[in-house]
Amino acid sequence: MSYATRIQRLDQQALFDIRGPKEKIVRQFGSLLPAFPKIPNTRTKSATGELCWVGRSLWLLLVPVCDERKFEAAFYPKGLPADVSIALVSDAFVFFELSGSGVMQVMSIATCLDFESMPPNGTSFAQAFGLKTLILKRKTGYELVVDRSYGTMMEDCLRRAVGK
Amino acid sequence: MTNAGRLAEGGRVDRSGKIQFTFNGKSYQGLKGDTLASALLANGERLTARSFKYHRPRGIMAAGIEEPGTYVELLGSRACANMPATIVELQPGLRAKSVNCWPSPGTDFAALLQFFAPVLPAAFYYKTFIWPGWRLYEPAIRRVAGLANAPSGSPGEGSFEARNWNCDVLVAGAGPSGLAAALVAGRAGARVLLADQDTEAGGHLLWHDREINGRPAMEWVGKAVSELADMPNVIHLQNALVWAIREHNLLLVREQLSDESRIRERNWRVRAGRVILATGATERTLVFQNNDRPGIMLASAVQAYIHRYAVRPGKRAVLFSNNGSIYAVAAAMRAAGIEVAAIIDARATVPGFDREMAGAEVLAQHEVITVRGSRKVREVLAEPIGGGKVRRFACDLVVVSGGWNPSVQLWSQSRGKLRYCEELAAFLPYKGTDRAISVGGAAGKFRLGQALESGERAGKRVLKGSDRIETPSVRETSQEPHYDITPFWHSRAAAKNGFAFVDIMNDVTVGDVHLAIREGYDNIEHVKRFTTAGMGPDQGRTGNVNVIGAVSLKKNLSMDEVGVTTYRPATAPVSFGAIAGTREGSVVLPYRHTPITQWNIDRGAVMYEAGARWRRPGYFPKAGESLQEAVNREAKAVRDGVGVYDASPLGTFEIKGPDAGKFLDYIYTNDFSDLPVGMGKYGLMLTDDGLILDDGVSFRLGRNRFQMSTSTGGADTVYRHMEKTLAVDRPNWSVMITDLTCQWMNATICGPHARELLHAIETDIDISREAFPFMAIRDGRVAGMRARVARVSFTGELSFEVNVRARDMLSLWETIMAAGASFGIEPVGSETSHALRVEKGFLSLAHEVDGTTDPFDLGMGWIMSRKKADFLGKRSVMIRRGAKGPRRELVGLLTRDGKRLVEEGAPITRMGRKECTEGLVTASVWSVANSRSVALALLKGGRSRMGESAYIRLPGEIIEAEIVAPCFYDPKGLRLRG
Repeated sequence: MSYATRIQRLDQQALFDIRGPKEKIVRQFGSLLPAFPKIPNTRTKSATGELCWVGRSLWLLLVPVCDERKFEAAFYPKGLPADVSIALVSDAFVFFELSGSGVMQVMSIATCLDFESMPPNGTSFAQAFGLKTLILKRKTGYELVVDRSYGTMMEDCLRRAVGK
Repeated sequence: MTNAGRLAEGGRVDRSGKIQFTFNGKSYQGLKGDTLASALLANGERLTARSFKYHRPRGIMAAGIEEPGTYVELLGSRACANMPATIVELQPGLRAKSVNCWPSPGTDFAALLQFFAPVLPAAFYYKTFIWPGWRLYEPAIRRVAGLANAPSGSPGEGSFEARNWNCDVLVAGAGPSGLAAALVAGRAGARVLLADQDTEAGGHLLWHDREINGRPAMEWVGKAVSELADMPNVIHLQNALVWAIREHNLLLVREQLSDESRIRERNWRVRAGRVILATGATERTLVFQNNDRPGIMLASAVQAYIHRYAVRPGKRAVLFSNNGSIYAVAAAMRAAGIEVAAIIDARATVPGFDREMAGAEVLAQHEVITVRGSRKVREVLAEPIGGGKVRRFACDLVVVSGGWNPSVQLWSQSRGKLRYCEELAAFLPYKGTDRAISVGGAAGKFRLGQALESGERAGKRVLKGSDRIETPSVRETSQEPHYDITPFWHSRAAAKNGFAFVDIMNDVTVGDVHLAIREGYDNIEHVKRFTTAGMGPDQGRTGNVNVIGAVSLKKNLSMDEVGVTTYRPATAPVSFGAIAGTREGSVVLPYRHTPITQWNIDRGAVMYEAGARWRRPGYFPKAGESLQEAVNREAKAVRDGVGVYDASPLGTFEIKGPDAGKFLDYIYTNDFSDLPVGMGKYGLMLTDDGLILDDGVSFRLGRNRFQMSTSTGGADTVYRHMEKTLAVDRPNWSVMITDLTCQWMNATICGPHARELLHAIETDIDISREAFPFMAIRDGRVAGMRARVARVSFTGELSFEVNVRARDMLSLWETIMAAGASFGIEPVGSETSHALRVEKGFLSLAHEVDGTTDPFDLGMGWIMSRKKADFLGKRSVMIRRGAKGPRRELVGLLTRDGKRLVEEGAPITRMGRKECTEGLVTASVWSVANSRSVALALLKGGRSRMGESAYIRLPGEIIEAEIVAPCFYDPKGLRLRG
């Protein structure tokens, strides 16, 4: 019997890679962004989207794809500080949603991350099936975000883990 | 066969669950709860195997993982090699056969080897098979030696799984001490993983009549198990062996699952905060002549077969021991209807309470000299230690106990130290790291009360310092006799001659150990390697300490002076399948796709990996076309018309920050900070030692913003290199790097009609030669999609790299192919790209750049900036250039026979002689533009040898080629700038 887990490849989402000194980013784009997370490897949420703190000076902004152009336009003003980098990376990743009662089994096969200990807003880069993966804890399970080129392989691995 | 050896009552087997199974082609019946070994014994089978080296008859000697005598190969849908019969759970339809014998254990042709034993001592193969060469003998030896055959295919039933887990405490072993520890930790709320190798919890309590708090001990075990089952923070696994403990408390656990599960075997990779080792103890065998005969069994095994499996392994027995634990076994045997003929005790005096339990003649300070009987035991000969009257005892069972070894394999793997304990005649854990705690039998706490207490204490200790302060106690008591032992490493006669085995699994005798010492291999690690003692799949559990004892006697050293060998993972056989888990078939190796991978496959492209795990089309053959014909067609399209290839796998990085220009100047050999916005430059990147790391083109997108492209195979390496450079060498520079490799996908249109085609699919970018020169980059729209177009060329033709978002790539590609049809467009695979770049003499990583070349070697000294004060690798290149002697330099080669293609990598030697090479062919292709073969080579002093001949040395053939400049097409680059 396979593990009761639903794997869904999610639709395109808009994703921005934001790097640089936090205070400068806040000063310039604070009104556009959700509040900055206070704890590393967590995320915050607002009506506009989610902000994930995934590196010392690295955040990922997740917004609906329909807002991609709006944010893109806002992020490239003439006066963007030289030491702040904002890159559109929506197409660089694919998202998989894992849900169901067997999700813990599948996650344990996928990753060595102590995902059970993640807080409800936990968000962390780790390895899944040996691939660099952003893991987001969700109410119904987990989301795995992986380099687009590995999307087919990730799907392949997940199906094998589920036992289908 | 009947179950004549099955006791009428008792045991933990399910008498209603009859199971049919096959062993060596014969049908038998067993019971649910049996192992293969217990079922065979119940059916009266004594001769179950042949030995590894001499093919001597062997039977079942133990009841657990320590079994040295009978390994089997499982057949059919659950095929598996080399399983001890004692841990094979009986399943309906199970098929097994003995290993290392042909055609059967009863009639084994290789048994003749035992008659040649005098000329086949330990390590004979190191000395014997030297001339004319080992390879001559190897196939025959491999056929005779070894154990079972590895399964030839995937399992017919079930699959393997490898998973990860994290916990606060891992407890290895669910005997009394392990259960006590798990209860304490579990009640305190810690995340506990309890793993036990047996099918049931209880450890030795499964086959001992013991009491806890005045009640049968197994009642306490049952309560403990059910309490643990109710704890959501505890995972309790049975049939789960902890087989390795690695750095940072990474433990590996092999779990075998029942037939009902779709998973056959699961490997857990557990990260544990703390580890409690409750792995119990293993009984040692005793060493005397013919101590391996079928019918000789460990006392603990006899007890297990009686109590747990309700099996009587013999009718009349002689017991031989050097410790007090055998007397309880004697009592159990008598109760099971086995006649005890005599108890031979090596101890000088036998305590009164032992004699009371004996119920048979006790011969104190005696030893067994030998056992008579070949296929089964018939008679035991014993005499007083030191010599005297020989006594004979007829029997069909010899029960031995040489004392108990704490199971210290995992302790030792955790870098814990061992010390010999005279009182217990065993090596005990004494100095550990902070990673693991040994408890119970594994720590030499052989009494039940001690074991329970040590488990409880360890459970509390591992929680110390945590915020879980509630640590309830498990106070249980039990009374049992004192364990008293006198070391007995081997009988007097064993030292003289014959088959007295210290390691039964690997057929290592006392004589072999003595030979090792005589030949100077007297360190215990050398003894192990010389004799192979302890190197079998049983890891010498029943014999290792006897080997140490034999060395200690021979060299007159203390046991501590001799020391122990190193224990290594795996502590027991583990399937490769369990280690690999779900990583099989298509996901054995990672693979990467671009958005048009499926398009390529649908068009019949031959796909293979082309660096960094990307699956790319090698070529697009049409019906009946060979590789070369397809490549020629594709190449011709690019040279005369237009082609398109998917260059998405090239690494793409955005480099941003006030120090971005300075950073590029540092990691490239040439200048980038002076680039105007919208223009790019080709660059070479060197390693610290001045060798080429990668090449690529970087464009300036803004004042502080660049886009770098790298080779496909080098993308990850370059990314790491840049991050490391910033983190370690230049931590104060403000530079940020974002990997955009999969953000921008790239269709490269190349060929004389490339501009026309780009016009045809419509773009708002001015792509005229004047407005969009070579090495420029422009943002705009192409075919209605947002695009970033660059003018670079890897083929030597006019090219436009059209980068679009990944979501648009397939649409762009189909638009190009549709519009290109009128231009005769061809999709181009990596084989053709390779041929075209060789014609142009462009370098390629892993061909011309092989980790030994610098820019000067490739004739690219012009790319080494003279303006910059420094850049990475500069000093190393200059030091190397200052050295004398010619270096291998890039040249072109034209074979005298223009139709002859040469294998890439072929060596070049002076006049084709058999001597040191002076270079190699790095690439060789058919040039459509020149209608002949062309090649590139790295050749010693090559640039000064233009016009001379080079000789390519191939097996049975020497090919002459003219040395020419390494460019065969448009040397002035007019076409690519067109």
